[in-house]
Formats: sequence, structure tokens, C-alpha cells
Amino acid sequence: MRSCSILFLVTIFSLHCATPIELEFESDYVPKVTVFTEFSPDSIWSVQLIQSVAYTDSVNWEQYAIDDASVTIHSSLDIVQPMVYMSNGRYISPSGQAPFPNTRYTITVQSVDFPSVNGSSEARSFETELTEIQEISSADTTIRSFRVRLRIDDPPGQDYYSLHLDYLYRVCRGDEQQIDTTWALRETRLRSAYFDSDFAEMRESVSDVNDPSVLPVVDESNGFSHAYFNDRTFEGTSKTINLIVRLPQDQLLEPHIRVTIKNWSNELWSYQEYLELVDLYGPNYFEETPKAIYSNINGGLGVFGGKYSRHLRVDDQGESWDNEDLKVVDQFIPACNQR
Amino acid sequence: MKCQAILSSVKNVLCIFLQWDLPLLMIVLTTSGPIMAQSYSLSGYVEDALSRERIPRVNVYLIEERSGTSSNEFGYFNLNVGLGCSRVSVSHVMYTTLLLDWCIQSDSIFVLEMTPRVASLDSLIITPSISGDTDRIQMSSHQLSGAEIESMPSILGEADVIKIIQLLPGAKSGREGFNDLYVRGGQPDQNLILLDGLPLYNPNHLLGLFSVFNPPVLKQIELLKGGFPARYGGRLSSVINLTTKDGNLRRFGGEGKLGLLTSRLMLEGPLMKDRASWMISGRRTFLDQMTRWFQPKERQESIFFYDLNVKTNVIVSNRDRIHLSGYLGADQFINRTRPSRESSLSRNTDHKVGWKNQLMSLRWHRLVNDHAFISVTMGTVGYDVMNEFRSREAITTDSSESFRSIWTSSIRDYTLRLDAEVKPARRHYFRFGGEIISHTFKPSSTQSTLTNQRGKQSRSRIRESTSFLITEYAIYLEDELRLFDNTSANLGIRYSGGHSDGKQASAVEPRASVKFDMTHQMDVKVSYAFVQQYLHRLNGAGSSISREVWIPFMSGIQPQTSSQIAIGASSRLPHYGIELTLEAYYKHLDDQIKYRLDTLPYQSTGLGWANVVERGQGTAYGIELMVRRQNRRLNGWLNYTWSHSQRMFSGLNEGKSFHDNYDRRHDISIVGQYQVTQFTTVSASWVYSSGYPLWLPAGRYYDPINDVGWFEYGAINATRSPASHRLDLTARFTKQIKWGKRTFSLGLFNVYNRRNPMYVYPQANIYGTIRWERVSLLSLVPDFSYAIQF
Repeated sequence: MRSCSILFLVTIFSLHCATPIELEFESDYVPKVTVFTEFSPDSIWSVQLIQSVAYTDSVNWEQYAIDDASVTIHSSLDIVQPMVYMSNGRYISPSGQAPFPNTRYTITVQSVDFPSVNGSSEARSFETELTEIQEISSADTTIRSFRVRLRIDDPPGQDYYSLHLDYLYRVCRGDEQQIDTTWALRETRLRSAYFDSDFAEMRESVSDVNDPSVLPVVDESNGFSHAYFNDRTFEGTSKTINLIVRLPQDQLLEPHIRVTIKNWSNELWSYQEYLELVDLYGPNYFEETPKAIYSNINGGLGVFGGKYSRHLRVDDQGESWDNEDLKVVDQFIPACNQR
Repeated sequence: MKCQAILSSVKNVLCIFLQWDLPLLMIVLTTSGPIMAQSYSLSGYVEDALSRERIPRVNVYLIEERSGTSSNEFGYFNLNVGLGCSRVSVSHVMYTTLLLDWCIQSDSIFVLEMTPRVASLDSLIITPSISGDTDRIQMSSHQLSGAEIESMPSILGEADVIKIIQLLPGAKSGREGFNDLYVRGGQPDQNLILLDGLPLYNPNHLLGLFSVFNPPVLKQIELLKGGFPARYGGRLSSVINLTTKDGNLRRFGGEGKLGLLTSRLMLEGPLMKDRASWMISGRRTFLDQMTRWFQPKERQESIFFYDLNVKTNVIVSNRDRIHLSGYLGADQFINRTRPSRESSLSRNTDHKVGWKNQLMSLRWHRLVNDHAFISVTMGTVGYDVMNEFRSREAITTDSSESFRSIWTSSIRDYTLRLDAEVKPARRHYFRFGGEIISHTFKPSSTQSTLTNQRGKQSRSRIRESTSFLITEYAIYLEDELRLFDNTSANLGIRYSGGHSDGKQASAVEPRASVKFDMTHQMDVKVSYAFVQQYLHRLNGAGSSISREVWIPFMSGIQPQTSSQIAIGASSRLPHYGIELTLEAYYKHLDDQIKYRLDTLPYQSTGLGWANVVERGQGTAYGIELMVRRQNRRLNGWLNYTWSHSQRMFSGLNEGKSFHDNYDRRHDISIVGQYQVTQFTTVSASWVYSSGYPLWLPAGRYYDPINDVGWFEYGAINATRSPASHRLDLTARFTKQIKWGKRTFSLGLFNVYNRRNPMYVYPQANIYGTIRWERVSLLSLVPDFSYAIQF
């Protein structure tokens, strides 16, 4: 039996033998312009241009940055926004101009080495309001639970949303530096909060949203960290969403919550699906039909897509707070000392 | 396009012809008293003299009249003879040929007993069979017995049915070492693989390295690549009909084997002597046990499969028999990691991939009278695929998090089938019948659960595709008729239909095969077959090779169809025991589907299957040459196939046609067996295949915002892998012992250690430059096995 096994081992070793191979490639690959822009009304125009390369070429992406292109962005109102080159293939608006919401923009890139490429998208605005926050009793004494109610006024047309909650998390020095026995507040950070919702359309991943076969999360005692949904059930109307947010008791001084709601353009949403699924499934050398990565750049590659974000900040008393609360306050605080 | 138009015209002409001809033939037959009066029916069964096992595909041939028939899968034959005496040859490659003089005075039923050939030099040099496969009207067919399979070169001591079929002309393997079968440019899902009359969906073990068919259990294997008779349908490219042994009616016996890869035991015997028998066989791999010794406890991989076949055979009366057979087989690949004590990691993982086939078949056949035979088959088939991942991680000393994700896909079939054979007149042999199959498909279901042990919190997500219930039905009528003295034909028509997802589909499928006897030793055959298939298989939905999905036709996805025309010539050189066959074929496939490029894995369930697939067409054509030598000291065959297989989808490759995935231009196989002494045989096979097409990325680009690199794929299947070839050798040493026979086999797989590519993958060096590397499955591998037979 032992000798059988040794012989079999020989076989097993041979299973994993990899040897170089010469493949007769048609080396006529023509590089293309790749455009990557995620624009939002709360940041200035910025565009990243890099050329694609033949698959077998070496990759040092910095050397493939396109620095001589003429990049213009047209709005539907014929406003031309010329862009200037910065570095590493990055072009920005010289006047620091940001996109306007609800305006469809088209990017056109012209370079002497490449054919002209273009793509278009928009950032669709929406109104939202946090209408209620209320602490509710929790059976688990290590957790404080809050009911948060918010309203989204959906604009006409197909929209995709994401919802994310953070809470102010104060890091005590002893958490990170074991040798430091002083339990002093080191800094304040935002940390993701888990939440549940009564909105059955919410999904955990982008790729699940268009899939009605993905059932709502069951046994949702842990809940979402990010939620994604579309406006299929409330197209063009107001939607009230109730959330139950659970925050760990021992890390709180006083609860400060930030709700981030994003409206994704169809272009950016489609691209996001690929990002997510490639992460999940990776390359497969047995696959008969490889996937073509989503792109809305005509004649080129990449994505030009808009998004619109709204941040709602509220503490447990319903008062709004701002970024000043994020500043590090290096002081001795009782909450740290109690740990 | 011209070929397609010709195929379409052939179909229309045949439909018109059959529409008028078959009813007309029926009328002629029912009123053809004089013809019937001049001949008598000679029918019955052919049996093994030792075990009373019924023998399929035995040629019963009237020598002077140069006409004959072959027994069906139940060993039944029927032919008409004229007044007076006839000299009859009864032949089968594994049995000693019988030469009989029959003087028939009335319709008669016979049971012919044939004696198995003993492996001796004298017995091998016998009169070659006067009527071989080449005498049948059926073209593009090959028959093999379980014993023949066992005598071929093996891999790791394991002779395999599908691997032997891959050595036949027109049947190609996919990747090196795997069992996917591509027949005449078709896809694996287009092969109708029947085990005791019921279709199997996945005939593979060990991720496709071996088939589920245990050779000692098999009585007969028949491969049809074209010219399909009307009794077969539902798959476009081939029929592989496997019949299992009934069990020895006269004495207890068996067979056992110890091999590197598997060990097996088959037992058979009478329940009541000459009235009822049983057979049971089990096969199991011990790879899981052996590999465990050599792997660290922190990381263990094991692979495991088993097969269980059971069958009972009851002779109810002189005219009735009942067979009850069952098959159960499963595969499991397990990858397990456990953190070592020294490791700072605390994560246990278990990854299992597996599939399971279940089959239960009840068959009853009855010799109704001197002219008629019927068989009824009913049964159920189950097929399940599973891919499960579990992990458990200690987060702190008193809390842990566990994750479980399981993907499943399943099929359940219930089948009822009736086949009848009637020979009412000398020139006609009718077959008719019908079948109804109820399929339940659950193409994809995923459930993920994350559990936090401390808080006893868990959350799950379930992704479940729609289940489909499809009913498939068919009726058929065939007439095997002798048109002239040198011309015979099998004309048939099949009406098939299906009901799926609220949608109906049906088709009239004309079939025709014509054989012209040019000389006593040479004939020319032509065939046409139109086939409609109501099921599709989608491959590789973004993940491992086990992620295949079967779906039925539905709204937006039509049943797939094929039209095939073939022409061939065969010649026999009996003095040398040689048969030569040359065939050419052209096949057009419609309503083929593939995943779209711009849809994502598992979106199918949300968007609907019709929205995630592309629809297209295919063409395949080729020439096959086979030279076969039998019944000599040196036996074997030489095959050469030249072929093309193209696909065209409007949404793929800019609408241009492209090579199919396993389009291989040249295939050569040479198989030889040499009887060195009475107890020693050596066999060898050499195979050569042109490289298969590869669809590889042409370019790559970078997303600086998300820090992700992407591939840009070029023209579909524009690159080819290197050619594959290898030589395998096996020597068998047999010895008669007091209570039976023992056989010791030694083999070498891939004798000259050719690195045939199973797949290629990109490897980047430190400068980011890509070069391609191939992974070869099996290099030079020795094997041995020890078998006993009693």
C-alpha cells in the first residue's frame, strides 16, 4: 500500500507542473485611451487618462499616462470646460469648477496618438432629510440601538442609491499602543455602523439590486454595513425608510451618526457591478466566455460617470454636527479611563 | 450558406416524402399478402451460452441472400427468410461465430446460444465475421463491449469508456486528460448518454478525468455520430447507448480489481437458476485515504468518488423479461485548512465541490408474437451539483465568526418510454414508439450565512433561481426497408415537442439512411438527420469547472436544432480481417447559446436567462477515415479526422464567425493490441490532436481610481494551444487458476512524457512582463493493477 502511495505521489506532483509555453500571438494590439472619472458636484472636475497596453507588455502605469491630450467637457447647455494637465495622467479644471447636478456632461479626449474618444453621464440630485432619531431599548447591554427615519425624494427616471452609516468612534490611546497605560483619547474617527431596515428592496451588494431572485436579508440581527437599492418601488415619489442602528456601548461618549446617501449614475453603477463581481469571482482560465468590462467610453476604455452624495449628520438629541467634531482632542476622558 | 440551403431542402423533401410514403407503406404492408406468404419470420434471442446473458448487436446474416439483421439491445432479432434452407452466420466480435443451416417451414422463434471466445491464439484466428458493422444500414456508428474496453490501454490502471470513445474518429476530447466529448463539432451537452435507457447528465468522475461507467458492468456500448434513427432524439450530436449486464442466470461469479486509482468488486449470480439473476458492483477510489498520509494537517486536499450499480433480471415467462437496474455515484473534492499551533492565524476553512448521479430504471420487454417485440422503460434520473465553502475564525478568545456559502444546482427526470419492433414483411422492419420525460431544473441556488458565535447573531443571503418544469415528449416511426436487391434504407420520422415556462415547441424530425451495396465487400451510405434538443447547457458561469448549468428552452431561448448530412463508403477485406470506412459530414446547428459578454455571472436569475445569453449558429464539417483490424493476433485501428467547427453569434466577435472552443483540425489515433502468447497481451495507443483555440486577453489597462487592472479581450479563439500527442502502453498477464483467472496489468501513460497543455495561464515577471505558462495534467505515469475473475 505504501508503494502505491509513493507512485501516486509522483502523479500528484505531476499535476502541478507548469512549464513556459510559446503561443503564436497576433501582436497587432492597438493601444486605446482609457478614461476614468467619477465626478460629483462636491468636488472639482478631475479626469485620469492612461493608455492601455498589449497584454504581454511590461506594466509601469506611470509611463503610460497620457499627458498631451486635449480634454474638454461639454454640458448639455454647450458650456465647454477645458481641462489642464497636472501629472500622472491627471487633468483638472483650471478654474476649480465643479460639475452641476442634473446636467448631462460629455467628455471628449483628443490626442495625437489616439483616435478621439467620448463618453457622457450626469450626477442626479435628490432631496433627503433625516426626520427622526430615537433611542430604543436593547436586550444586549453592550449595544445602544436607535431608530432613524429618513426620507428620500426620488427624481423622475431610473436611479440607483447606496446607503451607508458611520458613527463617531473615539480611539483611546491604550487601544493601539499596548505599552501606554494612559487611557487618553487619541483621536476621533468615523466607523461603519450596522443597521437594519424595513425597506425590503435593500441589498448587500450592487450586483444583487437588479436580481429579484436575491431574497431580502433573513435573520437580520447583524444587518447591513452598506445597503444598495433602486427606485423601482418609489419611482418619482418620496420614500420614507426606517433604520435600526446598533452602536457598541463601550466605544461611545455620545452618539454622533452620519448617514451617507448616494445617487449613482447608471454608468457608474454598471461599472461598480463589475468591480464587485471581479472581486468575488476572479479570473477563471476554464471560462469559455470571458466577461467584457463595462465601459461607456466610445472608442476607448474606462468609465465616465457621475454621482451625487448627501450626508446627514445627527447626534442622539437630533442635533446636527459638523466636521469640527472629527478633530483629535488629546485629553484625558473618563470613558477611556474606565476601560 | 449554400450548404445550409441544401440541408434545408433535404429536410423539406424528406418531410414530403415521408408524409406520403409511410402511410402508403402501411397500406401496402397490410395488403401485401403475397409477399408475406412467400417468407417466414425467424425471430428470437441471442444468448451467452455460459451465463444466458442476452447479447446485443449480434449480426444474424443470411449468406446466400446477402441480407441480415442485428440483435437489439435486449438481444432480440427478427428477419424474414424464404422457403427452403438458408445458411446463416451468427457473429459477434467477442463470441465464436456460428454457421447454421436453417430449413424453415413456418414462422419460428429461436434462442441462439453463443460461446465466448477463449483468449487463445488458435481461437483468435477464426473465420472473420461475414457481416460486421459495415453491413448495417446505420452509418457513423461504433460498437464496443465492456470486455473490449478492458483490453485497451488504460490510465492509472483504469480503462475508461469515454476515453476509448475519444479514440474513435469524429469524437474529440476537450482538454488533455478530461472526459468532455465533442462529437462532430457538437458540445458535450449534445450527447445523449443513455444508461439502461435513461439519460445521464454528467458522466464524469474526478472533475472529468474518468467516466462513471464501470467497465465490468457494461455489456454493450454503441456510439452514433450521425444518421440517427428516429427512435433516438433529444440531443443533437451523438448517442452513446450503454447497456449493463443482467447477471449470470446459471452460476455465481464475479470480478475484483485492485488498482492505483480505484478498486472494485462485481458479483453476479442466479436468484433462481435460469429464471432470475442479480448483479451488484461497487467501485471506489482510495485517493483520499492515500493522499492523507502525505499532506500536512494544516492543509489537506482530497478527492473521492464511488459508483454503485445493481441490477436484477427476472424471466417472467418465455416471452417476458423484467430488468430493474440502479446506479448511484458521487464525487467530492475537499480542500481543508487548519491553523497550526505555531500559526498566528486562527481560521479553519473547508471547501467542497461535488456532484451526484442517481438513476433507477425498470424495463420490461416482451416477445408479442413471431413478428413483434415491445419494450417499456420507466425510470428516474437525478443529478445534483454542489459547491460549498465554510470558514470559522476565532476573533477573540471567547468569540468566533463562521461563514458558510453553498451553491447548488439540480435536475430530476421521470421517464416513460415505449418501443416496438414489428417485421410484418420480408422487405420491411418497423420500429415505432414514444416517450415522455418530465424534467425539473433548479439551475442555481446560493445561500450564504455569517454567524457570530458570541452574540449568536447570524445573517444569511439566499439567491435562488427559478425552477423550471419541462415536459418533453416524442413519437416516432421507422421503416428499415429493402428498396432493391442492392439498396436498403431506414426511413423514419419523429415528432417531438416540449412544454416549458408556459411555452410550447415542437418539431417534425425527418431521418433517413440509405445503403447501396456496390459489391459484396463494399457499400456506400448516405444519411440525413434533423434533430431538435429542448435543453441547453451553459458552461463556466464565472467560476470553477463544476459550475455548469442546464436550462430548458423558454421564452426567448428556442430549442436548439441540427441538420446533418453524411456520406460514407466502407469496404471489407475479410482475408486480412480489415475494414475500411471513409465518411464525410456537414452539420448545421441553430439556436446555440452562450453567455453574453456584458452580463455578469448569476445575473441570469434576475434578468432572466434570455437576457444573459447570446443566440447563434454553428457549422461543422469534416472527413473521417478508419481502418480497423479484428479477429487477428494483431488487432486495432487507425483513425484520422480532418474537421472544422465554427460558431457565429451576432453579439460576439463583432458578428464574425469564430472557431468553436475545441475546433481541432487534425486528429489521429492509432490503437493496437498484440496477443504475444495465450496469456500475454500488449496494447498501445498513440494520439495526436491539433491545438485547441484559446481566447486570451489582447490588452490590459488600469483603473487608477479603484486601483484595479483589467483585461481587454481580443478576437475570440484567435490563438491556439500547442498540439497534443502521447503514447500509452499496457501489458496484461493472465493466468488460469483453480477457481478462476487472475490478470496482472502494467502500464505506462504518456511514455515519452509529453507536456500536453490542460490550460494556459499568464505569469508576470518582476518587470510586469507576461509570459504564458501551460499546466500539464499528467506526465509519464506508471500504473499497475491486479484483477481476479471467477
